[in-house]
Amino acid sequence: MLQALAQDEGLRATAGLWRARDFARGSPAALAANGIGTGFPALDALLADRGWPRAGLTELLCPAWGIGELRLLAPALATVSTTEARWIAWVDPPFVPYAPALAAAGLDLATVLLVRAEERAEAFWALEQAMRSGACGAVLGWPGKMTLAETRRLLLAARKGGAWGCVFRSPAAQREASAADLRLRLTPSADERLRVDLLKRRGGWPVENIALDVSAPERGESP
Amino acid sequence: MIKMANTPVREGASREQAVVPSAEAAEAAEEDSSARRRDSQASRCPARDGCQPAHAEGAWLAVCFPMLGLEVHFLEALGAAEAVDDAPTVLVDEGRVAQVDAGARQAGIRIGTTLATAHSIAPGLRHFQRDRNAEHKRLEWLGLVAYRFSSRVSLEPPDALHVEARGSLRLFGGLRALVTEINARYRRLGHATRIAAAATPLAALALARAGFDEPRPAPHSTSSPHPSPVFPSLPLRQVPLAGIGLPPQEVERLTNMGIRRLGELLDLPTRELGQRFPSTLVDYLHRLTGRKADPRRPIALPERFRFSAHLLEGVHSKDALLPPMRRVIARVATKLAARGLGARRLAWTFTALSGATAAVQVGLAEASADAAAFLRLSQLRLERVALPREVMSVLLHAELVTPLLPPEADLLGDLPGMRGDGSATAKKRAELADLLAARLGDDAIRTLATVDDHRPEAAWAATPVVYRTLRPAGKPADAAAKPGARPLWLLDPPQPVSVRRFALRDTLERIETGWWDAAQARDYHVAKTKSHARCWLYRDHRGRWFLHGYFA
Repeated sequence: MLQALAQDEGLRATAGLWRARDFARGSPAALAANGIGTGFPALDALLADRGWPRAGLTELLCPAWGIGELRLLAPALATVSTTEARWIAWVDPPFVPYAPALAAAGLDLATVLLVRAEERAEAFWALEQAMRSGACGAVLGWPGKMTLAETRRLLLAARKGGAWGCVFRSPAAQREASAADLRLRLTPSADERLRVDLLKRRGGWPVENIALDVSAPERGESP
Repeated sequence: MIKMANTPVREGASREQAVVPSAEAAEAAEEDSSARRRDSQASRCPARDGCQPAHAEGAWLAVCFPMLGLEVHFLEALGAAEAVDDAPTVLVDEGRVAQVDAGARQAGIRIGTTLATAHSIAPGLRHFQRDRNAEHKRLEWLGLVAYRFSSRVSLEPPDALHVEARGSLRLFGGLRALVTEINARYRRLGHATRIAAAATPLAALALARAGFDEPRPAPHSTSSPHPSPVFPSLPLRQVPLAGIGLPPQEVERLTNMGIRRLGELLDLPTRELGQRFPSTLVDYLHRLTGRKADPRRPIALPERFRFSAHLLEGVHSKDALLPPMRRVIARVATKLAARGLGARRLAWTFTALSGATAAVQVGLAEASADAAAFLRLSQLRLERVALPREVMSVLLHAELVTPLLPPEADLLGDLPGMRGDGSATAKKRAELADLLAARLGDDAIRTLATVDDHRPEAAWAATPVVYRTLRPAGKPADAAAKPGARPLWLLDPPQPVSVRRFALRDTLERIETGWWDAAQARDYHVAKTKSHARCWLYRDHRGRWFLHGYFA
């Protein structure tokens, strides 16, 4: 892990090196971080918008449920739910999002929109509609296998609706192309930490092995 | 997979609204014995399944506008763009004060005071003369607004209306949600309400009218033992006789006999009461208690919004139905729009040559007269139903018709404590909800709420979606619990597992599953799987292990 980080640091220190991120920083509007703060400073520092992309598609490649995949998102979801009058849509989740735990994580439950679908096609349709509508600040989906064209549709929908689209996929999807702005691979470890690999990010190379302590996110970082 | 129980949302949004908590009121009216009333405390919301009191099915709502006289004048001033300052204001009827606003009440002016006295108490006082005509007109309009909640609305002049809630409970997700929404709607239009529910119209009215001139407690008064009821919710028997609509001379005679409350009146033998008082009083009591039927004449919309198209030959495919559907939609929408009205429900009836019919209902979050939206949503809903073969006629009935409110009609803008999102986002939320419900079914979209129950599986509820009002920004009230004490994923129902697959970490807590089966305690553990998933396991009283959640 350190090697990758050190490499990145080394590149940053190199004078005269053009970096895509500097380009984005050039305009005054882009000076302010416009992502949704993840609540994990180590992660924010590596993301183009200093947080989750506000109007784009994020992919989380997740080998099993219950490894901290929701705790990773919880601080940002809490920010969205308490600063926007928009819904946080959960489209056909694999289990029941447990209300007392969500509330304890700081989410306003009234902003949770739980969508149940009977078939995969309906779930994907609902996911796209929720992202496109402009009524949702964040949209979480568990669409299963997706084609490149489908990821592109979701990306466009999230752009149009200004939604933080977030889909959970199997690690096998790593080998497939995706239009998502941001791809993360999550790996649990024995020491309660969640290992995050940034497989794809805007304005940067892949970064591997970021260890996040999801049991105690630093709260209070709202954009 | 996800359990969608039909439980009313806890009344977070309406904490400072003047709502008489209706479930208890209904309870009190239904079976008016004191023993029963004691029970009602204990039986409140035991779990998310049994939360809706069964007798609320026949619920009548009485919606009172205690400040209507003053509000009519305020609205007029707003309409004329006159400056309305916050000087204490009273409404005067025949030289005496009939209604007081908060400022005047604070200054110490009481109802019944002469105007001269009132002016001497508060020198800056402003007064309006009562305009009963304007009040009645406004009440009629408010009745039309109530059409969005029920198609059976009746007026109760001078200041109240009845809404028959039975048909609307499901649509609005229970009595409490309905009452909250009615209250919010009228507040946006500039009217304070008091709402009560009961099994008979008169009981609801008496409860709603009871205690008009009692001072309102502060919204977050801590002195009250029950935090949620803003007004003391009186059992029906405790309602004072004054002010519930009985003739004043009879109230006075009863008061002289020492009878001040409804309960004392109900205890009197009916025969003697009939000898001493006009028969109207006995009649009132019989209708109040439901011993005598009390039909209400619903206010009728001047017209029906109902059109049909008859086809020349039977249609087999849904696609072929679109042109006739488009035609009837255009006629309904045009007629609605021309009158400034919108519908909240589209009821389609498709009749086949054989006489078989199929009824399809499309609900809308907001009243609308938008033909394109009507067609889109109807089409989506149609995909989910089987139609009879050879459809010969298509009938569309626009229901729950209510005035379309232009944005400026929301005089007060967003309610205090609501997010200032204006109506644009609210409209988008309503559109998305309509779209999802049309394709996936009404039950497919829900929001979440916590329920005050120590059993983990009963401590949450999936409740109907709140369209318009999202709760105030900031830290939610439920955040008292320690983060991490409960898993973010819940398995519903818990899944039996073999404990050998898990590495047990620590015993978290022992949870009794209910006071009635204390033996069935569960010991909860945090455990890990080989793939490092953190699980929430419990062992029941028989030693069986269950997976109940993931600390995702």
